[in-house]
Amino acid sequence: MSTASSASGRSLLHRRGALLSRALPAIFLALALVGCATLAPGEDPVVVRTEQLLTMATPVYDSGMAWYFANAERLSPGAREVFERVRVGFPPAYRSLDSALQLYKAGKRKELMNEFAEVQRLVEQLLSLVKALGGPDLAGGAK
Amino acid sequence: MNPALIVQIAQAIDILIKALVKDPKLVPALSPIVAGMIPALSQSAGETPEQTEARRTAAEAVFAKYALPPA
Repeated sequence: MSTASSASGRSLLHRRGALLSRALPAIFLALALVGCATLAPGEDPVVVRTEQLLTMATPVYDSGMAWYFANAERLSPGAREVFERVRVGFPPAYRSLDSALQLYKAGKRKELMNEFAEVQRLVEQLLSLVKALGGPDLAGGAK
Repeated sequence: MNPALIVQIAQAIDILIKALVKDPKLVPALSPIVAGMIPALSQSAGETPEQTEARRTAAEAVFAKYALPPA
């Protein structure tokens, strides 16, 4: 990759990070409102809440990883190790929850607690890590 | 709920927050708008098969972007 295209890529990542740092609090507020919303008649809350988590977890993973990739050079080995665990662990956790959801919908599972908790844990870990390392403050103000 | 709708709601909330930060006196004027968003949010429903497929495709595309560690 040329220096110009590398710089362009970094600039894009930084712009994207700045945009996400502004948009994510609003997205989480919307998610919180959606989470508080009553379900449409006949809907299974387990299915709806799980689908909502799966829908919102991916953009969080995307933004968290984009920040990690843009800042990896300046991170300590310990921080990189935690990011790597999330990077590697999230996709199978996501797929596992998605598969468990399909089984639940088919009546072959009674609950999704473990899979749901693992995706939620990874998302929360990523949010906390990015914030602790000086990234976007997802709870409020932009950096 | 449709992911696109969630994004649109988030964008609307972002605009509202910015307006309120600039001028807190707008609270009475903006509250009907917020009240109008509640009915839309109250219809949380499951995904259609097409939405599930789109969600999975989008997720796999994101996972592929970060399949390898940063250089």
